[in-house]
Amino acid sequence: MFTQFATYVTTWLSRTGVIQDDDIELYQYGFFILLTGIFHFIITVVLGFFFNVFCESILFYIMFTLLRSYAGGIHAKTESQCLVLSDLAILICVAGIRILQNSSSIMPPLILLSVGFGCILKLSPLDTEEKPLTTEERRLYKMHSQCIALNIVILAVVTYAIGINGIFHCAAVSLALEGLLLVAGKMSKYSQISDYPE
Amino acid sequence: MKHCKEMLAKIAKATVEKALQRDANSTTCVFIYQPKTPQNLNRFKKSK
Repeated sequence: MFTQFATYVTTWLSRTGVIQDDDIELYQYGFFILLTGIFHFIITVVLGFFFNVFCESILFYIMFTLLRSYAGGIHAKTESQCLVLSDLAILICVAGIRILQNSSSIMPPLILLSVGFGCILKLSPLDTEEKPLTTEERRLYKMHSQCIALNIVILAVVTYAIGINGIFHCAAVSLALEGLLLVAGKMSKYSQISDYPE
Repeated sequence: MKHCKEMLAKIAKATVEKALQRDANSTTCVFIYQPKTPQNLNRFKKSK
């Protein structure tokens, strides 16, 4: 769906002469990235509205996007798998924020925050076959992802201390989701290696 | 009308270039499908 739309828009841009024919593939890729980002943002906001955590859902999207861009993690093999899995993950996270807000205990969000933070420190960045990183990029993005995760944890703890629990819950859920994607990505990489012994 | 279309095309191009710049300087794309990156994406990288 997104690929078709990206192809349509890129062909139109090429016909108007705004982009060169050599760059069609590049702009098609760019439109795909942009459209999926907008689509998932809308899904997050709509779910946030239904679960009555509108602002928290936007905050979750921002925190998760920042973390995911640098930390990486598992990816679906096809576009349709991506659509289903991403929206399912967003649904679980937005519902999770609602559940955490209804619960008075600090332990569940604290555990999610700590485990997610630990996974990011240990496993990031995790690249893919489609977009491999150089050694320098790996070093740089590890530092970026750890800094972002640390800032989110500090923000969560400080806001919880002054009584703004919403930010604490968003941070816990976004760190936990990123941690889970990193663990799943690492496991998938190991299983691929063990499938092809030397 | 033609002028309007040209303007729209230029805005679309600029927006996509921002997305490409962001993607070129990150580990993966945000959601759970990473298409194969085009070779010329490297020109949007800050460190080459």
